[in-house]
Amino acid sequence: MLDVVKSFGKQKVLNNVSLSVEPGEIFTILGPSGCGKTTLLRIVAGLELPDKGTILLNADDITKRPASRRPINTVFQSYALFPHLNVFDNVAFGLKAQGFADDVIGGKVYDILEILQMTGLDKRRPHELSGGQKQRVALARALVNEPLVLLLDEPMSALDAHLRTQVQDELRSLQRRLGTTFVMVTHDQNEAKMLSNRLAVMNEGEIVQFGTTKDVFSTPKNKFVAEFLGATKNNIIDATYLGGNKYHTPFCDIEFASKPSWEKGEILIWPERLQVSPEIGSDGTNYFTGEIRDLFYNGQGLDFMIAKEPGASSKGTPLSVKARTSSEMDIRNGQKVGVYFPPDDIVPLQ
Amino acid sequence: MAETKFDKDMAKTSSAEPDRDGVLADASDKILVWRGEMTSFKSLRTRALALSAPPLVWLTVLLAIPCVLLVGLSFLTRGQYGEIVYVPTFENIKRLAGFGLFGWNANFVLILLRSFVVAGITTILCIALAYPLTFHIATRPGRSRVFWLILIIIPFWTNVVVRAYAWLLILGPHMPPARLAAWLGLINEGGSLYPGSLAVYLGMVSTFLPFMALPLYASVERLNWEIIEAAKDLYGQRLQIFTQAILPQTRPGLAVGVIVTFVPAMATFVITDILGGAKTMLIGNLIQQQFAQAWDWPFGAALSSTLMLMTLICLAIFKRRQDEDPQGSILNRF
Repeated sequence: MLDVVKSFGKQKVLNNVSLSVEPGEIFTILGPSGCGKTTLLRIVAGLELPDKGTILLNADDITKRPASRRPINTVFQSYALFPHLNVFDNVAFGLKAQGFADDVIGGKVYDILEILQMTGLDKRRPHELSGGQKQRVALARALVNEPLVLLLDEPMSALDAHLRTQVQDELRSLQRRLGTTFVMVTHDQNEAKMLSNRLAVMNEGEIVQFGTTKDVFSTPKNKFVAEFLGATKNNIIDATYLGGNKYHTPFCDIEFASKPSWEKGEILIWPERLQVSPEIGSDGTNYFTGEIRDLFYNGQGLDFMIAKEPGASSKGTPLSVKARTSSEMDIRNGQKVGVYFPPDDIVPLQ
Repeated sequence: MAETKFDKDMAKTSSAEPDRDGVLADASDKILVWRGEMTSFKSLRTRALALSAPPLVWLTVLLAIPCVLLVGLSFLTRGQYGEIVYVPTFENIKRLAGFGLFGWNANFVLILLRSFVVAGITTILCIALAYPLTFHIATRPGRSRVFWLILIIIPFWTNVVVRAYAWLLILGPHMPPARLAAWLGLINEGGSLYPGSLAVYLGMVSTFLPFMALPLYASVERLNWEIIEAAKDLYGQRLQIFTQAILPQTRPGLAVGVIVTFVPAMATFVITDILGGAKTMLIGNLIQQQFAQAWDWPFGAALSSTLMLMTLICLAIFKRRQDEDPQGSILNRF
């Protein structure tokens, strides 16, 4: 539906970025600040012109069409509400500009305000609204025009933490209800995880990984993606090829379900994928024994490090890996546990 | 009564001592933290008084008292030789309203109205020029903004009279603008472009543009461009983008600009005198004549007071309109 090929002159903000978005999905562009994700969004919105490349919307080339003639609307990071207009007039702005009749405008505005649970606030000015309410107005103002694509630039960044989860749920159900294609830009991997059907991870103007949310989060392609999605350095482990599907790591030898393409590289194991048990077996393939350190309750489960005995790495700190279990598990600091790497859950990184 | 000495001391400092200045004295001695400084009301009050006294004295002696004298002077009589005779009269006001020796004559009222119109048009022209100008500057990269701002400020260093005479030269009969106008048949061959409205407005706008541009620039520089982009994104046309996204954001700067342009433009006399000739007599010229040539100080004072009153009424209306907008503006602090 949306096909963007782009490269940029000054400092190469975007370097041959190419992706396509399916109609009716929530697509997220995830990346650290300065990776060019906002620029990409602005190009799609028509607020910036690419040096090269085309943007296709349902096979129409809209690259040179101004923002005001694209069936695409944006929720800006600062919301950019018109400060002198009340909620109703803010939401009605786009419809008025398109020349709809007053009664049509009224109907549409009140409909969308109802969907967003803003009924009764239509006479308020933006400065009389809370952050969450402002965001709803920004959403309503864009969605009332029934765009084919809704662009969201860091939609949660101005919200308090406790509001975010709620807004995420609402955004998801809103999107399901309206069927509008959402394209969101964020640097928050949790937000991306909670909201998107598919996502693209960007770094330095390039798309590093692109796929369904599940695929990207369970099998990051390389170290950058893994770290960006929240992997700690401890869980990115050096591995060298031994033969068969077997590799050597400082913890133990491991056996993959299928052999990666490289012979020397790094693997990722997510903390919650490690199988930890208080019964200690003998060291072997995909298995080692270690000591629990830095145990703490993270709100849902237990987070801790497992230091391998004899426990000294070359850097002087004990060689350890981060693990996560349910809070029911009866463990304590200093306890010896057995750790198993399930072959299917070991992610080879490029 | 197990009161210790310490308790007594505490009671002395913390409770009121009605035999002195009552509760107020107690509150003013109380220690408080004001903007990170530990102090008391008393010392803050003393300091505020010390700091505001010089400007207050200055304003009283040089502004308030002369104003009162001026208004008083409007109700006195001119003597035979231009001296002031201390006989109270409403003659000056009547004359101003047009009831002269030879029946009703709207001359002065017309001059007042014309000044109003000239100042108004000057202000509107300045606004029309200042918007593109300030947007141009605000969208330059950092360094060249300073350069452009300096270009705006430089004319301030030149005396108004000198600048007016410069326009006389430029608009003179042998200079290209006049020749072009003559070739187009707009003026007679060998004629000049002054005196006249064109010359007056050129002089006025070139004088007052910086007054409009600088405060407006302060607003334009802080513009939230996302709001303008939002207007574009929401299908806004040029006019809507200006009225809905730019104007509301630049209103504080514009308000200051309008005041500092309109008020002095109402009272100006040098530019209109040099470039406008007798045809475009303004209130400023009239006042200057009363004081410098006609030696009719009471009438001059009446004219000045009327001008002042009109300006104050304009400001009051302006302020009320600003107050209606809760977005606020610098004016609300007055």
